Amino acid sequence: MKGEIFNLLEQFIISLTGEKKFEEIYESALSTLETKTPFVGPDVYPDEDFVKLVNKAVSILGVEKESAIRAFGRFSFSRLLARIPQDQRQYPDLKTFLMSVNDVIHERVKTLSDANPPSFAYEDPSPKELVMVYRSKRRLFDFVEGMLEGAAEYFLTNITIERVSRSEEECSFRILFK
Amino acid sequence: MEHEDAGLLRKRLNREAEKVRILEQLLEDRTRELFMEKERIQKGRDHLATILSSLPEGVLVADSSLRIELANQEVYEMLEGTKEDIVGNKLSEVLPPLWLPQTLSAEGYRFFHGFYREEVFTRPSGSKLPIGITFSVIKLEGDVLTGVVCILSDLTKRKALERSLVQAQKLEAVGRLSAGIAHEINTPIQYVRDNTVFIGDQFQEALSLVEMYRKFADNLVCSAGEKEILDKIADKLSQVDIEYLVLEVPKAIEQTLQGAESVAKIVRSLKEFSHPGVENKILLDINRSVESTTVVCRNEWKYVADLELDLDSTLPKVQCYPGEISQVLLNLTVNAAHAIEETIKNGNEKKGKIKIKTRNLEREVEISIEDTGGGIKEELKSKIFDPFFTTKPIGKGTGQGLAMVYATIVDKHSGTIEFESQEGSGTIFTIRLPKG
Repeated sequence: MKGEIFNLLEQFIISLTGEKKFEEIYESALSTLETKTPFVGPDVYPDEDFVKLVNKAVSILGVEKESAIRAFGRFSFSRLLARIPQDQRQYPDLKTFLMSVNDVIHERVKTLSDANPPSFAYEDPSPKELVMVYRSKRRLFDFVEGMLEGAAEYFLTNITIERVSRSEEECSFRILFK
Repeated sequence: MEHEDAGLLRKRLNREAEKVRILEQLLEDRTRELFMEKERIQKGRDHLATILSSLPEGVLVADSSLRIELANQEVYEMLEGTKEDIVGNKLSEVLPPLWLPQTLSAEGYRFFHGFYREEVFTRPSGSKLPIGITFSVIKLEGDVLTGVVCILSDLTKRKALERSLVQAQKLEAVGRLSAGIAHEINTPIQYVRDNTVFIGDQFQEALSLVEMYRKFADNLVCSAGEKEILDKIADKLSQVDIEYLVLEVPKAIEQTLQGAESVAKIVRSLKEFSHPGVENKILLDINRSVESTTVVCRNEWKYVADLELDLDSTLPKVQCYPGEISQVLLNLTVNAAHAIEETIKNGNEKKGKIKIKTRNLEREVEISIEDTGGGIKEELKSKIFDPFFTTKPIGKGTGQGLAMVYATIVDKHSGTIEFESQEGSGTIFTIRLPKG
């Protein structure tokens, strides 16, 4: 998993609980992490380290894990979008943007052979509807749902999301545009 | 509290400083990787460029809009153009006047896929170049057509080979016919010889009889009537000019016999020369082969040179493919004659000389063919045995060149062939064939 996700997690936790709490969470998790050095954005780190950090944060903060991860997804969307050069993110609407996500991901991580990016497949049943099929070993279904909510906020679009698990590593998000 | 905040800040700063250090290292590593990757890519490009430039064919690569994006050196030489003339232009603007699609559409794909044609390209200098043009389409995954590769082949040598082949086939046909023709001529020539000998013999008999009659008439005492008859006979003999016939008829018979003998010799030589190719070597009388060959090609040398044969009578027979050795001797003799002919054309009015010599060496037989022609230019000496190398126009000479001579002597007979040549003086070719 890319270091920038770890950095976003740090920013998210700090934005909610402050630096001190983050230090507590980080120091507490550090001995269990495979990575002993600070996370830097361009590098790639074991997925397990992310899971451990999240679990420690949830444990120390006493929050519900799925909600926390979804909130993290909402928090991350605009910040991840900002990493894409301005001239490459001219999207007329949310649906157009969502349908380009798979290409964007691959463009961003294609130089990192061990990034193992998720993939998205699409079904386009009608103009007001879109089905995104998310596939990844990481199974960050809540994070993706949060990202979708963040995207809707960014594009000032009202949506409803219906999530259906398809397999251990795959789930679909049916998005209705209002 | 302040102490706690300071501690927290310190931790934070330390962590950020560590991040900076890690990022710097990462940057250095990535920069190094990029540099090495760039070098690898450049090496790959250089390697590809080397491969392309070493190809004996012209290679053009055009993009999906059929605009040329790459060409190798051979293209520039074949089309007498520069990079500016060719790269960046459309294929249709650069290649010979043949219709080409303007886009790489489905129709374009059907046109280019497996395309081959031969065209004659008129170069800027005005010279014409026969070229073979092959197209193939560059397809990526998903059947995406991204461009076209065009291979240009210089067909000059192939065309020369085709002409040589046609010439060789003609000569082969003539060779096949000549054996039959020789056989057909042989019988009537025998008639001519035998009958001429008969005529000569009978003429001598008739002359003897006439002489006997003359002597008898000179000594005859006869009556007036008998004298009248004898006078008429004497008049007739005078009209017939028997003295003249006595001198000239034997000469005429002799010349007829010589002519018939020459024809018979040519026929014999032609039959020997036209010996069909044999699968195994046989013991060949090289001296006889030399004689037959010089008779067969007499018309090539008799007007331009005097021929001298210096044949070693002790020369043993040698294991050879007779037809091929005859062909070698023919080639070299005809070449000698043509070399002398060139000097005559260039102002030398005297007839030249061709000397063919055989020698019986310890382990080899040696055949040398020497001429007083113009010699071989220094810059051509290394090429004369190259396939299809010739300085003569089509139709002159045997059309197969010294390459055939070399292959026959060296490869097929394990012999050697060398030459010495002086420009302006002449050339001598020396062949050695192993005995036994």
